[in-house]
Amino acid sequence: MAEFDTRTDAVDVTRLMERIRSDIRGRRGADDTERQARELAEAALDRCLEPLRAGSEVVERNRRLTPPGRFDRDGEGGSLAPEPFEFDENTVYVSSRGTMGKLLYLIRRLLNPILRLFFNPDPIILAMMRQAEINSRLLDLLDRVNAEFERTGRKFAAREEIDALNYEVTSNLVTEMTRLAVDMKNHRLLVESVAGRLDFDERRARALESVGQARSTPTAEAPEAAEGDATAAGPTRPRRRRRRSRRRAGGGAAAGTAGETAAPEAPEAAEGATPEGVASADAGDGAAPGGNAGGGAAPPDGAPPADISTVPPDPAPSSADPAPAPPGAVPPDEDRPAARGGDEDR
Amino acid sequence: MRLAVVVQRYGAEITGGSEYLCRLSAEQLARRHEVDVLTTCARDDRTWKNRYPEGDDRIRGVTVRRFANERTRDPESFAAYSDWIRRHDHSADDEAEWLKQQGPWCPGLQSYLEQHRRDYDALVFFDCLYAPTVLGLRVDPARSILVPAARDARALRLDLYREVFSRPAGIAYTTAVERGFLKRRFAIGAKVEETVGCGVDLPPSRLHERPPSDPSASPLSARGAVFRRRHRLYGPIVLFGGRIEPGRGCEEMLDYFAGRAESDGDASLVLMGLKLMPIPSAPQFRLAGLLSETERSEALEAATVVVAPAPSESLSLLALESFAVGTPVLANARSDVVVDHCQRSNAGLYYGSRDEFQACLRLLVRDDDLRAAMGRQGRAYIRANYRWEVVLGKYDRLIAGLPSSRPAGRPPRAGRRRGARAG
Repeated sequence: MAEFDTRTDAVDVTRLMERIRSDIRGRRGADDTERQARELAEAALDRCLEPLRAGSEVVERNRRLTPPGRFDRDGEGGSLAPEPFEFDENTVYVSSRGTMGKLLYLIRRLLNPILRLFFNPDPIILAMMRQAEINSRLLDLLDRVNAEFERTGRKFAAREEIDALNYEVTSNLVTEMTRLAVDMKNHRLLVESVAGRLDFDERRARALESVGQARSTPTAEAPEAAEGDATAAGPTRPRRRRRRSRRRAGGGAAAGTAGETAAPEAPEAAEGATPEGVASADAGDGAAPGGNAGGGAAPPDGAPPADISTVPPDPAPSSADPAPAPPGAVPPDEDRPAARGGDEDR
Repeated sequence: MRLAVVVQRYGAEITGGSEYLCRLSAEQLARRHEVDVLTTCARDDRTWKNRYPEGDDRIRGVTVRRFANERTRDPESFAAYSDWIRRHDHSADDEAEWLKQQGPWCPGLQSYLEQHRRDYDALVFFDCLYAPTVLGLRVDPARSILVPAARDARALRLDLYREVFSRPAGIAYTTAVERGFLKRRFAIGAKVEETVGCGVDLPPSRLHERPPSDPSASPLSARGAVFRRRHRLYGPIVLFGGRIEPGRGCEEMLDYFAGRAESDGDASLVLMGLKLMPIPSAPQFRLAGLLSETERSEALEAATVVVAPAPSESLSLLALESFAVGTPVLANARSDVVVDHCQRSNAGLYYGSRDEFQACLRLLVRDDDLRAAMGRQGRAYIRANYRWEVVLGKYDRLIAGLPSSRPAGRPPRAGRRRGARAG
């Protein structure tokens, strides 16, 4: 980054960090809050879409949530709430002592005017009666609220089952999506791998071709052959040689082509060098129309190269019309590619 | 002198935490003194199962005496008990039970210490958290040195740790931050104190110069080229080393790294160490696995930046080793220790958020000059503070400063090994 001067040896990390932080603050700018909100939303979505986190245990956890319970009239401690107390205008005068109580009631009633000299009990009696009424109404209300709670609880329970199903479906979807993403990634890697291998094979093929071309260029060991090739093929024709092994040659399906690979066969080829063979040697570079690069084209190590200058390059005899063998020469053998016509090879 | 080093587990396979600090220190101390490591047979710190054979062993030139644990830890019940003890009022017996459940519970080690404490000139206890240290410090406090390796762990709030820090005659802090933290929280009763830490081998400087831009130079001679070739790494390398687990900030690091913009380049995050959590299967994440020490060093050299994401570290050897090879560090700003290293050395940056992580990483990856300057400063910091000569000198001062010395009349054993070696 260009904004930090780091050419000096003495880097001050504290200052550098301050500058990095101020740079970050500057880049955030005014939309910081919006960005934070987006981050929060993304984080929540991530949590939901992350199959490792939102797996089946989410559903289980959701199931374990306790449904809303009944409101307890007796309070948390379990102690019983007092029963509602009925209060009327006679409550302050009555007594619970049977006949004695009745007597007491009468005396209190009689002495009521004297009591009124001290204070007026009527407002107190009225207030207490109102309070008793309020209490009973509150209890009714509480019962109605409880009934409402129970109904809502049943609704919540039903809703939770639906939620659990939703979570399950979401979880499965996320899992499948992840699996698909992984599959896609694997396939991409596979395609890359195949492409890489294909590229490698192409390069290898090119390298092998170039090696073959390099080997087929004239060398000090076989100047005559090179010269002969040039004579036969002409300077404009590209040299082309093909490798073939003895095993394949023995199969009879394909005939020998490249001189260098046919070197082990060369003694036989040299020994039985027929005009046809020589001609096919000439035609090894594709000069003769029907000819082929016979295995005997390249002289064996130490063997004198075939004198191709004495051989007419054209016409190249075909395998169907073999030329007579010179005296002492081994007759052409079907199994010997060095002595076979090029047409069979093509 | 003859030293007993007490630690909860010990082995060449353990490459992290206070145990690693203990092993490195014991191996270096063994060059100057006769060192016996007294430890348990445990290899795993989750269960403390006896894995190593009981008895004497020799590891990298250090004599190790192992004692079998009497019980293993059940992680789930221990977690539940820890949770309970944190949330409720409890007694000293509850804390003792907690210590027992935490483990390693090794009475054999305790009785050996009680019987043979006079055979040693000093008892060095590593890691204040575990039972061998808590109980061992009661054996001979006047001859004890504590290497706390303390993090701001919730466990240190238990009352039993007050005694741990009031007893030993010497304390070897790992960092200045740890020293400040412990002094604030506990009444330290030590007669001698030093901020010692852990030494780091400073590799030859020629390896750590940035490669010259000489096209004729061999590709393998370039810095970290061997590691890069072995792991087929081509772009900038962001390296993490240690246990790959969420508790060490790896989850956050992976998330931050994955969220980098494409314009930030094709850096790879290479994770070396034990994998204890899933790693995203993206091409920029590369798992190098457990590496040998040589390869670890090569990895640090090859790295463009080393990330230390752990939010609580007692020392962070990763950061020190990174400084030693001249690679800058990107640390978690919540880790006071590593931030302190970065600020003192001026060889590392630190992040407290996603934006900071990405901005710091971008800066470090792109700016070669900055990295080179920080690398030089990091090496200078290590040379001044964390060379083994410096660290061992501090240990010697601590041992010499202990108020209690060998009782008169006993034949000194000091120098026996050195004599044998010299001979």
